Formats: sequence, C-alpha cells, structure tokens
Amino acid sequence: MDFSDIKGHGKAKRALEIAASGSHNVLLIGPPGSGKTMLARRIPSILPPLTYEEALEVTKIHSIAGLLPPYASLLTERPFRSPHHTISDAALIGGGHVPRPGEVSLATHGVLFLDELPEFKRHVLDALRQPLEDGFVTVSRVTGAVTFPARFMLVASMNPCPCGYLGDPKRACRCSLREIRRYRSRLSGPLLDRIDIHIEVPALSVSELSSEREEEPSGRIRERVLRARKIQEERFKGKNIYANSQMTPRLIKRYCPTSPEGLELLGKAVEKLGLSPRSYHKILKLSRTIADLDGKDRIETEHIAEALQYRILDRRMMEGI
Amino acid sequence: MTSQGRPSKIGLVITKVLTATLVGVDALKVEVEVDISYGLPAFNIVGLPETSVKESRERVRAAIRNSGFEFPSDRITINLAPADVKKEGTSFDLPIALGILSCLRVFPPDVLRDLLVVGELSLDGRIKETRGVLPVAILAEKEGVEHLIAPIGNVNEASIVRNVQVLGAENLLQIVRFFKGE
Repeated sequence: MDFSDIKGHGKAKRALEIAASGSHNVLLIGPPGSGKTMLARRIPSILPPLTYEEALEVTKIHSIAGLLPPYASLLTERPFRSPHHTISDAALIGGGHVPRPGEVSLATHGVLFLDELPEFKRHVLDALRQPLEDGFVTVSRVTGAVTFPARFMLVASMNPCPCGYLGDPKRACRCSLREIRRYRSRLSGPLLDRIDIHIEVPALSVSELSSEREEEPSGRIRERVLRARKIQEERFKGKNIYANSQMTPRLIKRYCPTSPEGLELLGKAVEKLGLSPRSYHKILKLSRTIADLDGKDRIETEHIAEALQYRILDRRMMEGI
Repeated sequence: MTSQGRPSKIGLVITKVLTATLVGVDALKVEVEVDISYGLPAFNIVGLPETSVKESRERVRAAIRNSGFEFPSDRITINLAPADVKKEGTSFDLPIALGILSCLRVFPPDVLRDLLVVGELSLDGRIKETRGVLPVAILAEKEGVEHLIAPIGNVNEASIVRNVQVLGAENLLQIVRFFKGE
C-alpha cells in the first residue's frame, strides 16, 4: 500500500507526515467515503523501519498472542491493528483469566487504528488513557498482575456528525445541534486532549478524483520522515525516548526554543480556545516536529501556526458545534 | 512391608524435564518432575495446572501409545515446579511425554540435561505449534541452556535468538530415536 494510490488530500497527507515524524496521535474527521481509512492504512508505509530490538518485541508479543503464522521468523513490518468498534476493554487493553496481550500491545511500535471512534464504548476508550500516556499497561487478574508494552501511535477516524455530512459543500447535514453535541460528547475531553493532530478529510470532487496528476509515493515521504527522526534520535540520546511526542515538560523547555512572535501567537491562541496546559505542551511538541521537518533549530511563527491548524476540534467546540 | 522405602517402579530417581510457562511477555522456567510408582493406576498433574494443562494427560497418553510405546499402568505423578505459579497452555504435552518415557528408561535420562522442551502433542504423536516459543528461546539464552526442542513450525521464530541451538521436531518418535542415537 502506497500513498501514491490516493488522489489529492494534500493537507491530510502533510499532517500524517508530521504525525509519522514525531509519533503524534491523529484524528481524521470527514464524511463517509472520503478516504479516511485509506489514508490511515498507508501510515505504516511512511514510518521508519523497525530496529532489531523493536522487531524482537513485536515478534515476542505476537508469539505470545499466538498470532505468528507457522514457520514465521522475525516480523519486520510495523503492525497495523484495526479492531472493530464493538471490542471489549479486555480485548483492547489485555486480559483474560490468564492475562494475554490486547490490541494496544499488539500495536506496539506500530499503528492502532480506531475507525469510527465515537462508536466505541466510552469506558473502552477511556481505558486507552493510561497506555497512551505511559506506553505500557498493567493487567491484574486472580493469577497475578502482568505488564504488557503498549507504545503505539493512535490513529482514529470519525464523521463530523451522526449523518456524516456536516460541513460538506454538496450534501446537507440532517442532524440537529443536539444530536451533533451528543455524538461529540461520546469522546471524553481527556482522550481528545491526548490527540495532537485533528485533520479534516473532505470528500474529493470528481475532477480531483479523475485527475491524472502523479501523487508523491510513500518512499519519498518516508525519506523526509527519516530525516526528522534522525534529528530527534540525536536530540534524545540517553533520554530513553525517541520522538518529540514523548517529551516531558522539562525536555520541552529545553528543546523547544521559540521565536518571541511564535510564543505570542501561541499565547493568544491558548487564551482564545481555552486550551489546557497539556494542550499547550502538545502544540509546542507538534511545532517542534514541524520545525524538525523544516530542518530548523528554532521554532518559528509559521511552525506554531501550522500546529494550531491541527486543533480543529478545539476550535469547533468553541464555536459550539 | 510398609510404604517407606518402596522404590519407584523402574529407576531409583524421578526424572526432570525443563520447560517454560508464559507470564506476561516473558517466559518462566518450569521443571516437569515425573514419578512413576507402584499403586493403583493413576495419572495426576500437580503444580497449579489450568484446564488446558490438565487435559494434556489424555493427549500424552494417546500420543505415547500411538507412537508404539507402552503406557504404564502405574501411579504417575507429574509436578510442575515452581508449584505456586499457574500454568496455562498446551506446550507442556511434550515435556510431560518425554519425562514419562525417560522415567521408563526408553532413553537414558541424562540426555534431557541442558535442554528446554516445548510442544503440543497430537493424539497420533505429531508435534503441533504452540504460542510463545520466542520468549522461551530468549529465556533459554538468559539461563544459559544450550538446546531447545520446539515444534518444527516454531523453529524459525525460536532461531531469532542467537546463542541457543533449536531443534525442530515433527513427532514424538523422532525425538526418542534422536535421543537413542538411532
């Protein structure tokens, strides 16, 4: 699967490139059939190759879950897990009488894709909060407590409203404000707060769809991702993390030097959107990744501005829809 | 004659086979101890076996008989040590079967030294793939055990670990012949 299969969606592709570079979590919002799932499935093709240690861990987890096919050797591809929205918390997080790894662990060093995010049970989604933060899960059962690794990139998709066409230029949305609010409220604030990038994936027009223009192949995007990752690897040597998204507030202070204009813009935006301190840090981390892709040491206004663009949901919530 | 000092049926000592159970993402070394003694015919497994391990009795019995060996009509006791950790999975079939055969002196018991064994048995003695063989291989390396007998279908995954020699087995008879040097 390759990004060149997808026509248009330049903005979404750019956002996914950033997400892959800094291992940021992503939420894709768009009407049905606009290509959210297609985009998500191609993310592994722009992620860096697994290191030996990562491959060993991935293979180990799959071996324990009994998901290694017979005669399989070391798994070299990043996992892509897309559980159905009826999944139980035990299946997602890990569980059973004798605990077995769940989807979050099977997605370690890869992508956990949750299609139709609001359809998941709310307590199941909220169970994601701890692994998203810590990178591991501890499951306690009668037989004892067991810790599984769970360091994954979360990619989720949703429609903008129950009928799916809110904001669509061609089709009218049939939802009432109340329905839209109820739909949105299925996602808890704390979960959304942990997703750095929200992008809109609009439906393409016929002319865009039938366009003969060559789209950029995954290989080229991956080169840029690798360059950005290299910078991060140097930066975090000996810090036990490998990507910008994992920075602690202390590291943010140290590694996110920002131009005064950029800081001013960020300050204004935070005030206007009523963002949490965590969101403030998330935006700085995201700006760091964008600056890394740009090859800049200092975060400039344009990097902050782009990072702010990826907080659509915060903006929407402010506007009441 | 009282029960004291009554010898085990065949040899003087119980036999031990090394295997492993899974705890989270890691494997834990487990010793399968086999004792065959005079008494009413029985076949018991102790050491916190879960249902899948308890059922292994039937698979082991059938696999041994269908591989052309006689299954002893004596009192067989299997202990899975450490006895305070719950054991789950089907990978205990093969070590239990080998433990019994070695107790019966089908092959010399010292060939089981420095060896870890995992594998599920089919009723006809074939060895089926089990889950979690890679963590077992990693454990073998860590514990300095040089050899690992695993189902043939799991050999590739176990071979990722460098300092352990992995022997892939297709059926019970094949292993016994290998042990006897045939």
